[in-house]
Amino acid sequence: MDRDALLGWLAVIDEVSYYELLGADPTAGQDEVRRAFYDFAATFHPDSHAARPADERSAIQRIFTRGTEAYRVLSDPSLRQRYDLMRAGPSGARRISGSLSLGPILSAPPAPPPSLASSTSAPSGSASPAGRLEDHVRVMRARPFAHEAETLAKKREYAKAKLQLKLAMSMDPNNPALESYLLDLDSRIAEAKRGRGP
Amino acid sequence: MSVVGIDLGTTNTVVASVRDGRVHVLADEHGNRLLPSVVSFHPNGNVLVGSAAKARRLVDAKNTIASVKRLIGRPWNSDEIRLAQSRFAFELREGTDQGTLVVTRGETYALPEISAFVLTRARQIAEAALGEVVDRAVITVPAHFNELQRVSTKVAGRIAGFDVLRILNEPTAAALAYGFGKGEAGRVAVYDFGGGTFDCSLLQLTGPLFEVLATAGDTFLGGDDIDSAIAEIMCKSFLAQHRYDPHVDPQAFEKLRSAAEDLKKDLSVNMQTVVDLLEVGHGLGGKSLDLRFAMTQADLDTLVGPFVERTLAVTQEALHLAHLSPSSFDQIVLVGGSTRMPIVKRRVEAYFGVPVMDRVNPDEVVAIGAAVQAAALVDATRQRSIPPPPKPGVVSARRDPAPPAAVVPVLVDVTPRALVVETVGGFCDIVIPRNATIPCEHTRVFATGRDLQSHVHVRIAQGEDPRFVGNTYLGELELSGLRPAPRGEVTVSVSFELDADGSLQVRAVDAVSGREARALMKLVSVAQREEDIQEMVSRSRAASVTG
Repeated sequence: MDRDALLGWLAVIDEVSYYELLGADPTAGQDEVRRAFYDFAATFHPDSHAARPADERSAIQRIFTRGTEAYRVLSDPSLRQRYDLMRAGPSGARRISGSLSLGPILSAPPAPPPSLASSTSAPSGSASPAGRLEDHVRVMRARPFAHEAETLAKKREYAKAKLQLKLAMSMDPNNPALESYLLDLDSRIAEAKRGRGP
Repeated sequence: MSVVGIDLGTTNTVVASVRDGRVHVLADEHGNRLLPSVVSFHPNGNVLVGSAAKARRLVDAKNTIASVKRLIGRPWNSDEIRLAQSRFAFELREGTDQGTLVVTRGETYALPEISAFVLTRARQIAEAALGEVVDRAVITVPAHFNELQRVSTKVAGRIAGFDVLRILNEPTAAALAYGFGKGEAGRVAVYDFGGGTFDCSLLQLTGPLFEVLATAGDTFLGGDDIDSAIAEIMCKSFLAQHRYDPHVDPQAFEKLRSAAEDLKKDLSVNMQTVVDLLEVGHGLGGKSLDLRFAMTQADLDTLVGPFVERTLAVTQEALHLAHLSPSSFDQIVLVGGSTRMPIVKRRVEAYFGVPVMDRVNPDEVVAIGAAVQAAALVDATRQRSIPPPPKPGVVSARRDPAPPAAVVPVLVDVTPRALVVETVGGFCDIVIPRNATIPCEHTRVFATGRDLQSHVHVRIAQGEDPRFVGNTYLGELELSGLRPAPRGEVTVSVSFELDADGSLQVRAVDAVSGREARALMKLVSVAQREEDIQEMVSRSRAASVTG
């Protein structure tokens, strides 16, 4: 039963807002945010789950790590303000992935800002030197999901593809190839919506 | 098989364990609960630890190592090592990769190996007291300890044969010993006045969440300084009586210092006391020169006052860092033997304006907290069940509060220092800010700056100074095996992960190909290679460590 709940968490972990993740109201004050994180931490801190099997522990670690990120942003007034603005942004795209970059991207030594989208494989299967999306997946068990996502995207079933991609991303977090693929999918979903519109 | 909590102190080490729901501080065969953190290499090949080693400080200073905690995790070129070379009689030498080695009786030892001898002795004491094998431990460190010092302490634990369950902050341990962390919220100041060092840590508690608001310290301010000050007065009195200066004879002076310590302890309970010291020195014709010395608590207070003022100045510094005033605190926890002096308690209470907590033995409070945490970490029964996931887009009310807290809270600690990487122009970019709750993870993207560049070096430090050199340099991250491409085409995304100990792990992924890139995090001066550690483990096992 816990396993099902864990899978459920993983499936939505990149979907939910920091507020939803911690169970805090978007209008909550600093003390309430701290309280919410305290309840979250009491449930998800890895120390409370040391006896679980390894895969469950890594899932919990991932959920908790995301929770600490949420707490860090929401407990810093200026970061929180930026986050709130971002959420209310024009696209309404709710991107809250782990690689949310807060601050200048460091290049050592200086280099152009990273633009990853162009060189990764696009949903339409535009010829990319690196080939299939699943080849970019670092975690074996995530590959079938990436494969399925790409297959569905080729059939233009973007919404279904997105779900599969999300599952792959939950197993292989912070994978830039998957993240940029998600961006592509989102833009295609938006295009499709516009196409259907009046 | 059993677990213990160990307060590995600068002056003394204490080991404690939870049995049948109660914490016990473990004593050696003579009933001593304080193990002096002193290691002496005896000519017969034995490694003495504790009082026996302390006794050899005079007769064999070159081979007797005290206060190794001041040095552990310090690179060879650091100020602390330079200072130690002028202060201590034992020989230090530069090791590989800026490590520091202790040279004694023709052998060299890395600093964690010296600490490991103290920990091995602590393990022996615990095993004798508990009657079973002790193989796991929680070891405490000061809140201001940096990554190098924490990793080195963990290595010391491993060399001593422990599976180190957690490296725990000392003020957090002290707060745990007082049962904080079970749901109440408030601010706690931990005033830690020990044998050799003073530390003040300010904690914000929200249930199991322990945030270190600020920490400040003086690494050369402790009870030892007070003993020396008393001994100086004794010297003057002795000189006046006998026209003989005990300073010329180190053994005579040490005798006075040790008497001064006893006198100081006595004056914590009694209003006045008199000591009779026989044969401090020998006069003409071998005549024994004795000293009768009397002191009142008021005399001692006058002497100790300036030291207490210095601790309060450090405390003020911590408050300043946290932008708080003394009246912002709900509880004050006293730690360290020096807090037994009534004047310390009085001044601290006057400063904060609230009564202090000193119910738990201040020498043992940190070890007790460590034992509580150790027991909690191996308690499989407190596993939590997973609630249903939130629904995206649905703003939920607060979830049901967590089930009633278990006897021991889950401790959510924070990293006391920011983790930064060097950027162009000698400035810093913060990767993980200070006070980030741990475990946590942050990702940064790095790009190549030259054509066909196959390596990227990233310099990493810890601290809050905007200039890179103003922080504690930790080491270098090397990303290698990058694919040959024009500059800027290769980007590597590096995730910096702090685990629950606050120890740094680094993973790197080629941002374009998604392949795992090789990332090697080399901490300066710390032995990290498994084979090196294993060698130290076997050397430590072969040594004959005795009390």
